Parts: sequence; structure tokens; C-alpha cells
Amino acid sequence: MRILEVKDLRLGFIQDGRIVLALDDISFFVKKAETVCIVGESGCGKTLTSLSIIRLTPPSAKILGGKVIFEGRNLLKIPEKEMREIRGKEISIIFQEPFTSLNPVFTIGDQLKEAIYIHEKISEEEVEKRCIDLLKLVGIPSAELRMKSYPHQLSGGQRQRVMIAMAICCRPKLLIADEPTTALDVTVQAQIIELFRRLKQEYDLSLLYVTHDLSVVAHIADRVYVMYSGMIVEEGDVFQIFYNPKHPYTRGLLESIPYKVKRKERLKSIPGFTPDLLNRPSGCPFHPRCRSSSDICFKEKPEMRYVENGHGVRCHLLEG
Amino acid sequence: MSTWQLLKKNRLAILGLVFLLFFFLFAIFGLIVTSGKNPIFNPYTIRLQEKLKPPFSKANKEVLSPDQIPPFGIYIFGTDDLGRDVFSRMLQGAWVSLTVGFVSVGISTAIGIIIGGIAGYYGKEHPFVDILITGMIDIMLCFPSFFLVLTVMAFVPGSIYTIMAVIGLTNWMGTARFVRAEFLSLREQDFILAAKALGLSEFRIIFRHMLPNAMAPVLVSATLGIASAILIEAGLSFLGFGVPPPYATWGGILSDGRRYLFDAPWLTFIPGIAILFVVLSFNLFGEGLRDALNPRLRE
Amino acid sequence: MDTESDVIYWKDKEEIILKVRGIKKYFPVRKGVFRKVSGWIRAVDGVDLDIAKGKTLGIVGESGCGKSTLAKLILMLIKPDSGKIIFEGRQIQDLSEKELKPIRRKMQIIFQDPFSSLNPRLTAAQTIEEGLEILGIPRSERRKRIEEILELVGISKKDADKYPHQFSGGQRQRIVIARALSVNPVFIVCDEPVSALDVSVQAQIINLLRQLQEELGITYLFISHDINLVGYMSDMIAVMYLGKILEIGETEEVLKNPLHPYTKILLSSVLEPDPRKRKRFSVKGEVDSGDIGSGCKFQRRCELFETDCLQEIPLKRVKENHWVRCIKTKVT
Repeated sequence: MRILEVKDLRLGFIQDGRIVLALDDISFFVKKAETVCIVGESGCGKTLTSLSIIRLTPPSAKILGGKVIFEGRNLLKIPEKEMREIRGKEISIIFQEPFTSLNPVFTIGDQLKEAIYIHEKISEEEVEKRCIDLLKLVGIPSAELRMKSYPHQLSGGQRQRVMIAMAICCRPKLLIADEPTTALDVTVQAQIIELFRRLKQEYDLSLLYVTHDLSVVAHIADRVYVMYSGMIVEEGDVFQIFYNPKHPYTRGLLESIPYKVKRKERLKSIPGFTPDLLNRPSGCPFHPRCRSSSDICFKEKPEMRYVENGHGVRCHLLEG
Repeated sequence: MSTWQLLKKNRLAILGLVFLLFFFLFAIFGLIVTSGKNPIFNPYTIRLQEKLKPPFSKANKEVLSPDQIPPFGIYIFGTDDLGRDVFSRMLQGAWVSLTVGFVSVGISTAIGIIIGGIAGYYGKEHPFVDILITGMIDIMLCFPSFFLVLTVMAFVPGSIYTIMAVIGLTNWMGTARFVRAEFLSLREQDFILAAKALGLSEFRIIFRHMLPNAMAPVLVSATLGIASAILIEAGLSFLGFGVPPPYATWGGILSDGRRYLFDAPWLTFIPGIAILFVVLSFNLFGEGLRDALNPRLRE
Repeated sequence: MDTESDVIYWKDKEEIILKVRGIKKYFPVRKGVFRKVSGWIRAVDGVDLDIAKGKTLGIVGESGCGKSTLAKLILMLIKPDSGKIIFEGRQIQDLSEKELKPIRRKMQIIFQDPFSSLNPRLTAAQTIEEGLEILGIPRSERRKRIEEILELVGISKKDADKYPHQFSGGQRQRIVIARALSVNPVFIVCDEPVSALDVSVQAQIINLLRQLQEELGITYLFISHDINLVGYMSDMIAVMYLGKILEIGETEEVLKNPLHPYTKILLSSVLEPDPRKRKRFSVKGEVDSGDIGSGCKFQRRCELFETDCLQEIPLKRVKENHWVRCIKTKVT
């Protein structure tokens, strides 16, 4: 059962009076209790995509087409008032920087309670208990005491846990996580990932996880979408992507990880650099960096073709 | 986008800039035509028989000697209580205002950079220096600047030079704070550490690497400061502490015209509006500059 | 260190280019209106290191372990509170800036953030030129050398007169490397040199660093939180925690047989990019910060903790190429 379905999403920015296309026909879906990862490097548009789902894109961004279907409704077309009821309650989002996501002048308890109060009318004692339970759930020690702490008194990992607590306080159907562990230490990252796994198992939580870290993807994803310069270039389940990558970009990305590489060997890299989202190359946006590109790659945008069940690639080289 | 491109988009700032250029030309023109033995526009000529004439009134050639006749035979801005041509006086005053503005800001900026730079560069390792300088800045800021200037002017012989020096010596605090703040944050930037790793001398690090990157707020502050200096001078002249006669300054013209506010309103309005426009233009341009420099700094 | 023996970690025939003994740096914590010192942050608390010429020593650790402070201390960008730094046989920790000047050009640093590592007001060529000026290269020869260096790091000479904001992150990092090379260093500290770059670009920069080591014989101190990366780059690896080295040895040996409880946790937290190698994590506790007091730095989080852990623990050699600072490990 599909909780979320994004179809042909197109988004552009207004620049010098013209519209520059940034997101080009993005389509993906998330099923119930599934973890879907969108993986890509800087400037690929993954954060923009996650913001588009809940309509929090910057004012200069314009939706040019497509649908975001959540529980039968197209979120792009409903009034703002309805959207606000969905945010935080049905769909929640957590961001990368736990330092700036929490308000420094309010206690953890106040912020957590506020997150609940916006959507549910329950008594003071109930809220208090809910908050403490939530903090325990996400692994914050001495939860009752921590309710009165301020953000600066917590470590980065703890702040991120509080963010997660705030995001799940109203039992959302879908949780969007945008690089939640990038700014954290390795050991703390492991704990947060374990937390996500537990939440998924115990609460049937659907997770849309956006990241650039392929190791994290390997660890938590059920299905993966690989994004490059505003386009989804490959999609499939996690095993298909890691063991049978078809797109030159996906392959290049996997090969450039220094994992099980002998010291005397060179790392394989992708030449060139990631393009700006406002300056996307023509045709297939990966063509300037692709070792096998040909004329058609520079002229035409490739279509998504399915090479096996659920495994799709956008590449001219695989046709014919 | 470069600073210039961003600035171009701010219509008001460009308007301010255009007006300022106009003001510059007016001042330079004024300097040329009002100086020398027989200036074309003579601000000193007294024509008691032609006093308090409104703007654009024709000179009465019958009662005037040839060298008393204004150019074009018209008093463009009228005459004051001594029959002096207001337009000529405005021309002379423009140059004085400009000079006062630039020189005093030059002095205050120089002082501000030195003091702020020392505090910002040495402050971390020698907190005493930082506390001392910050304290000094805070104390100076306690005094309302205009009254500070006024107080000093009461003890000092009034001349254009003393005014410029006094305004300069009492308005460096803003610049000092900016430079200190920029230096404090720049010190931690990696490229400064890299310069140290290369073995560059402290002098070179400060002047080649830190100062150019700290100039943005200084530039804005200086621009706004010129406007402020002109206003202060106008205020001093208005109160009688400004540049002494017979030099004309816009504030002085305004001040002299007070008594004739109802009979000859142009004597106060013309310099008043001129000061308004100049200060407004500096402000608009300065703020536009600040906005144009900001997003790039954030990059 | 307990002894001042010449060759501690490397094989006997290696030439040691840098020796660090008992380096300490404490930062005061000031509280109150009068900024009185209420405690100390022991950023680097007694570190001993040797680095062999032409080799790479990797330092791995999480935030707050002191690795960046260590990098700056070795380069004398901040002054150590105590200890010795011996570079090319000469003690440098007490030298004045003037005396340090000719030595500085031999030891350079590459930072993490490609955005703040370059003066935004200097072009790429001007940035490199400063180094050439220090070497005393006459003006007429500079342009040629600038282009040579740019080519070495993979920047086209057409871009020599561009400003940092006109380059991508990866290219900026290349210019940072070019600046470091401009003074012909023999030793370069790499402090998280690729952490802020995209994955596809990281490999390019790493390859460049390796190539430079092979061609020019440069010695590296490679600091990173990415264990896979440090493992790939380094001949020897050291694990740092709260200002002390807890384990050090030949890279393959340490990564295969971690002995210190912290190293074990650290390595077990590393995610492998293989969906068949998923793990369950039972790591507890946060990364420590602040003053631990006497004894082992890891005492608060260690499951094997006992009272003996409260005394000062020396680095013990447990194998020919493996040292650990823990009383629980047995010498084999």
C-alpha cells in the first residue's frame, strides 16, 4: 500500500525573469512501513524534493507540474490550512543540523509539548507523560530531568534524538529525514540508525531518508532512488542497486568508496564536479562526466527503462 | 553576482549615487567659480539695496555697479539680508561641506581601523587589551556625539580645520567596532592559519589578508559617516559654532536666515532642502552598498 | 612517553622526520564576570608520535578528541603548553617566529573547509605566488612555476586568474593543495581534507594526494573521522580520544585486530556499503567531553572498567607493530 506517491514533479526557480528547471519529472513512492532512500550528492535536488512534498520550498521556487499524492489527496493542490494540519501530524520532517533546528530559548519540554499541542487537544498531565515517554523511547537518559534542559545543554546526538521525538510525537504516517546523521560522530550515528530501525519495526513507520552516504543507504534502505542534477537516474531495491548498478553514475559512486580497496590500488573516481542545480547540463545531465557518453546523451533526456522487476535506469546506453 | 550588479538592482541606491555625483560636480564647479580675485559667482559681494530678494528675481541694474551684477542678471536663489547672492554662497558652501565630510570621515576611519584592528587581532591572546579598548569605545559611546563635539568646540578656536579634527576624533567608535568584529572572526578562518603556516609575517597577514576582507562594513560606515559629518557641521554652524564667516557653509546660511523665516523663507528652505537631499542620498547609497555587500559575504 | 627512544613505532630502518613527545595543550574555561578560570579542557594531553619520511600516519577519532588541535600544535600554529616537537632532528617548540620562518615552509597544512581555506580576494595564481615569494623565486620565473604547480594539482592554467568563488569545492581544495606545494614542503598535515567534498570528488583528491606522495616523497599526517579513508591512506594508524592516543600500530593490524575497547566500538560503528552486512548496534553513551580526571580517558563508558583504570596508563607494546593503552590487554 503506497503511503506517498510523487508523480512527474517539476520544479523551477525564477532567475532574471526566466524560469530555470531544477527538478525534472521526479517520480517515486513510499509504501507502508517501508524505508526508501533518496541518495545523491550536493546540488542533486534531494533536499528540494523532500521540501516539495510538504510545501516548504523557498519562495523563489515554483512548482511547474506533477502530483504529490498522500492518502488520496494531491498535496500540491490543497489549501495551506489543510497542509498545516498534515505537517507534523501526518508527515514529519527532521533536518541535518540539530543545532539550529531547536529554539535555544525554550526548554526541551516546552518545545516537545508545543509539537503535541498544535495537533492534539489533551490535558497538561497527559502531555507531560507523553513527552517523557517519547524521550525514553528515543533513548534520552533521565527523561524527567531533561524536560527542563535547554538545547545547548545537550550533545549533538541528544539534540537529534529530541528532534526525532518531536517528529514522531503525533504518530505520523510518514517521516522524512534529511541527512539526519551527517553532522554526528560515527558512534552516535550508529545509535541513531539503530533508533530508526527500532521505530520502523515497532511502529510501522514509513521512512523517506535523504542522504549522500551510501553506507547508510546499504544499512537501512528497502528501496533506493539515485538522484543526479534534478533527475532520478536509477531506482530499485537495495540489493539491485548495490549488486547490479546499471547507471554509470551509480557505478561511479559505488566504486569511489574506499572500501576493501588495497592500499596500492588507486581509488576510482568520477571526473569533473557536480553541477549547480540552476545550471544543469542539457540532455542527460551526467553526460559531461560520463566516460561512455555519446551524441545523443548531450541532446536528449533519457527515459526511465526497467531492466528487471522494479529496477529502472535512465540511460541512453542501455537502449536498443 | 558581483557587488555592482546587485547594487544596480536597488533603484533608490542608484538614485542616491546619481544625486551624489551631481552634488560632487556642483561642489567642484562651486570651488572653481567662487574662488580667485574676481570670481564669476561672488559670494561676498554685499548689495544692501538688493537685500532679501526672492529667487529668480532680476537684478536692478540701475542701483548696482557693474561688478555687483550677478551672472545672467538674476539672483537664482535670491539674496540674503546683506544682499549677497544666495546661489553663490551655496556654491561655496557645497565645497566646504564636502571637505568637512570627507576629511573628518577619513580621520575617524583611520583611527577606527587602527584601534579596532589592535583589539581584534591581539584581543584573544591578551584579553586585557581587548577589555581596555572595548571599554574605551563604550565610554566614548556614552556621550551623545553632537554634544561631545559642541563641548569641545566651545574650548577650541573655531576653524574649518578644528571642526574636521574634532568630528573625526569623536566618531571613530562605529568603525572600530566593525573592524574588531571582523578581525575576531577572520582570525579563526583557515586561510589566515594557512598564511601563518607559510611563514608570512604578522604585518603581511594583517594588511594583505585580513584588512581587505574586513573593509566591507567600514565602507558602508564611512559612506553613512560622511552624511553624518555634514549634518554635524550644519548643526554647529546653525548654533554659531561652525566655520566662522565670511566662509559660507550651508548650515551657516540656514542659521543666518532664521530671523527672516517669514519674510524670506527661501533663506532657510534652500539650504535646508539641499542638506536634506545630500544626506538622504548618502544614506540611500550607503544602505544600498551594505545590502549589496552582504549576500556575497554570506557566500 | 616513558622512554625517549629513537624509533618507537616504525621499523628500524625508516628515517623519522617528525617526533612528538609529551605534547600537551590545555584550554582554560572561564566563568563569571571577571572571567576567572574554573577548569581546563585538556585538548591534547600527552601525545607521543613518530612519523617516518615518505609515509603516512593516520589519526582517527571523533569530535572533541583533539586531533585538529594536535595538527595545529605540530605546525606550531598554536604554542604547546609542554612537550617537545622535533622536526628533521631539531627541536622547534621553543623557537621564535623569526627562527621558525625557514622551517615553516617545510611543513604545510591542508584544511577541511575549502570555503574558508582561501583568501576570497586573491586569485588562484596570487595565492600560489605568495609561497613562491617566500622561497625567493624572482618575479620573472614565478608565472611559469605557478602554472607547473597548477598542472600538478589538476587545475587548467586558463583558470589561474579566477577567484575562489568561481571554483567548485573540489577545485578549491586543489588550490589549497597547490598553495601547500608552492613552498616545496616535505611534510603536510591533512586535517579532514575531503570531508566537506562530494563523494565522487573525494576520490579525486585522495588520488592526487597519493600521487604527490609517490612523486615527491611527501610525508603525511592524515586526520579524519572516516575510518575507511584513513585505513586506505595510512601506513600506520593512531586512535585518539579526549587528547590521548589509545591505540596505535600498523594500519592493517589495528583494523583487523582492534584491542582497545574504544577502538572496538569505533570500528563496529562503521557502516559497510553492503546490504548483506547489516549490523545491530548496541553502542551506549555519548562521546565524552570535558575533564575526565585521572586515569584512562575512556573510563566512563568502558564496560571493563575497574579501579586500576584510575591510574595513569602507559602505552604498551602488545605486538611488534601494535601498541595499546589499556591494562586489560595482554601482551602476546
